[in-house]
Amino acid sequence: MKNISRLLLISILITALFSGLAFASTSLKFDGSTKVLTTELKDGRTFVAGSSLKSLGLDFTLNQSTAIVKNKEVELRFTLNTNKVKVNNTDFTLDSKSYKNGQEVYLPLRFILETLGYDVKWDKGTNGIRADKQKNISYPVTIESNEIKYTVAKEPSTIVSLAPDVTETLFAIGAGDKVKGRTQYCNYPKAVSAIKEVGSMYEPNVEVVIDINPDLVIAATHYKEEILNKFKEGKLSVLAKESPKTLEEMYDYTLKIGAVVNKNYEARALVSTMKSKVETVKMYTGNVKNKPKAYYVVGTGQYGEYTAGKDTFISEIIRVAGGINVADDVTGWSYSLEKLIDNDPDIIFGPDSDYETMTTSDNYKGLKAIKNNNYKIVDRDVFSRPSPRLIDEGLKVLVEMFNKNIVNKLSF
Amino acid sequence: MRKNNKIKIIILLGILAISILFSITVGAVKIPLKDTVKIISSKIGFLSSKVDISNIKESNIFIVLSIRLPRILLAALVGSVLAVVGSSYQAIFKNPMADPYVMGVSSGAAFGATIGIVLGLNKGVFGFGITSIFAFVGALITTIIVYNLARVGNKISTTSILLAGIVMSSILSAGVSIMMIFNHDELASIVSWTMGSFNGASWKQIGVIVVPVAAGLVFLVSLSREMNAIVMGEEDAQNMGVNVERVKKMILVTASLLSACVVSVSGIIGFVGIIVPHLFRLLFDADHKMLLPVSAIGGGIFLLLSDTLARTIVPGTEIPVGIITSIFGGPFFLYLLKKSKSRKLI
Repeated sequence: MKNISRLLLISILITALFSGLAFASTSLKFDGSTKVLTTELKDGRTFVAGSSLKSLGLDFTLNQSTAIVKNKEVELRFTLNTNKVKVNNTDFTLDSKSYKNGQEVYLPLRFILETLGYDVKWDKGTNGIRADKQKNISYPVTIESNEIKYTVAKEPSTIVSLAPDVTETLFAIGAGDKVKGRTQYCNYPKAVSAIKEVGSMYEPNVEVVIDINPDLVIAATHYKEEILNKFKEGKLSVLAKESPKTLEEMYDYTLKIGAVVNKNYEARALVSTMKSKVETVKMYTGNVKNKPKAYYVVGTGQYGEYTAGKDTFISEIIRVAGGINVADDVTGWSYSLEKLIDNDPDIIFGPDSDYETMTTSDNYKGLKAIKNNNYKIVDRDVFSRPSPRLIDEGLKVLVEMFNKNIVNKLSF
Repeated sequence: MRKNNKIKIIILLGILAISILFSITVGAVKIPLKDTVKIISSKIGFLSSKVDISNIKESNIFIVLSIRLPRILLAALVGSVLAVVGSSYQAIFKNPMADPYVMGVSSGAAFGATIGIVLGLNKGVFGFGITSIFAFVGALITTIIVYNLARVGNKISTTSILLAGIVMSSILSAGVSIMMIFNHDELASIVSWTMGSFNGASWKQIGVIVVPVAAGLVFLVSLSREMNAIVMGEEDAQNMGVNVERVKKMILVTASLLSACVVSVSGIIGFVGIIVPHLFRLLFDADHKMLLPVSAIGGGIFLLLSDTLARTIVPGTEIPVGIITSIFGGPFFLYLLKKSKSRKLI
């Protein structure tokens, strides 16, 4: 339902787009009353004039090329003519650019509202926008996974992260300085190299973690129950959750993690940017004809073919990027050489470690993608972790691969 | 001779004690030797009132008492059991290659554990120890199957049991592999389990296995005279008044239960059951009265030191202990084998 209304909103916005830059005033149902905002429609997005923000209880100031929007709890600093924004000093990239038109500054309305904690919808009744305040997740934060409830009672000041996607998400929402321990696989962002290594996800060194004495240990999917029990025995708080398997789960998990580390605004901002990037790409790729068939290599060669089946987030972003996932006919990760040959994908993408096998073995010689030199090397980490990079980098890489002319239209 | 043996055992016990003390002092986190000694002595009855550990970091106390100590003791215990079980299997099968692998016990445990992992029972509400229980049941069922396959009437044929065990092992290993293929997500857990590890060892695990394991060890050692007789020849043993079939069955059942117990907490650790008994046969004598106790102590030392290496050799990274036992134990054993003039292999 939510998706349908979002789509509706987009299609209305697209219609507006084709009628050129539209100057308008938009009605907004907000905290029980209806406001009229000065807005412009551009690139399929509603931009709100800085001067209108006061009616939403926000202060607006312009400092050269930085537009500052704030209230008591949060400060958003937009750099004009770029897609950059800082939320409480954490950097985010938007799907569109903020800009100045005459004396007026225009900022992305949906992003502002979503960061403040509103759910934004198109309201048919008033032919305007409706913003519904969402329940703030506050302490104690409860996360449930595998029928276990984990409760975080207060903001942790030190964290050991036992999964690369968790580490990346923490850094993305500005909680990177809390991370005092990480696994040897946590290699992004660069700043992690200064953080103490605690071993692998599955076999972290218990002593080292206990010695760090963090307020919270966060583990995902690949963890060993005995080790977590050991941490609990050592009086450490533990949060263990299966990693997200879909984009929707990834958004949800990001918000939860944000609440856990008291970065609600940042987490909402991140989710808002991720969602709008996905929507923007969908908008462009939606009516592309002749979508290329793509195959993602997880493993290949002697030990069999492994790829991402239809129930994975990789399959989801292939779809968003305007491709067809060849492996949508299976669930899970196991595939077969025969099926691969039978489906004959247009594009194969995978890590550089599998490039040699795929391009030199006789088995793959007949594939269209190999013949046409269409094995594209991608960063495995980006596609294996449900973290913001999946959209910021991964999605873009795929769009470029599938529909080169679309990628130029994207401003992220 | 007897006095000599006693001295040898005492020396070995001394080495075991030193190994334990040494292992407690090393680890990824540097804890001063002085503090370690204080922490340990604070737990020893008559000393506890004399040492003051109030100014030592609480996390260090936890590391010594709840991470290192249980891990070290568990490794020593598992090592003892694997070595004694190996010696016993080798005696009753009169085959130098016999160990828990051959009986299919290890593969059965791996199969059980893999099912537990694949069903996701190793996580969530069931959490603690479910994989171990599955491993134990797997080991047990496999042993029963192998035993029944090899039983002809009231007799167990040594050749049949070895063949049945090896074939069962292959079948179950294939089963584990197929589960690995279809459960890509759990690959790491399964591989880690099949390579053995003491990471995360706890007093609870020791508490669960120590009584049955100690009883089993004592029982096997008490059968050393019978084992000697069986090695000399089953007919001679019969003539000496040993009920060969009954003794073989008792040893088989006890040894299998023991290995099922330890494999379920440690995962599969190869090689200890073969290398340690043979090492002591080469060093001392094939007399089981001597061989079983020294194997128990020696197995403990060997696995304990291997595990200490496994957790310290690359700081902050755990290396599966099974790899260490093979890499370091293997060449040493080959050297002894080559050097030894009398090849008392069984």
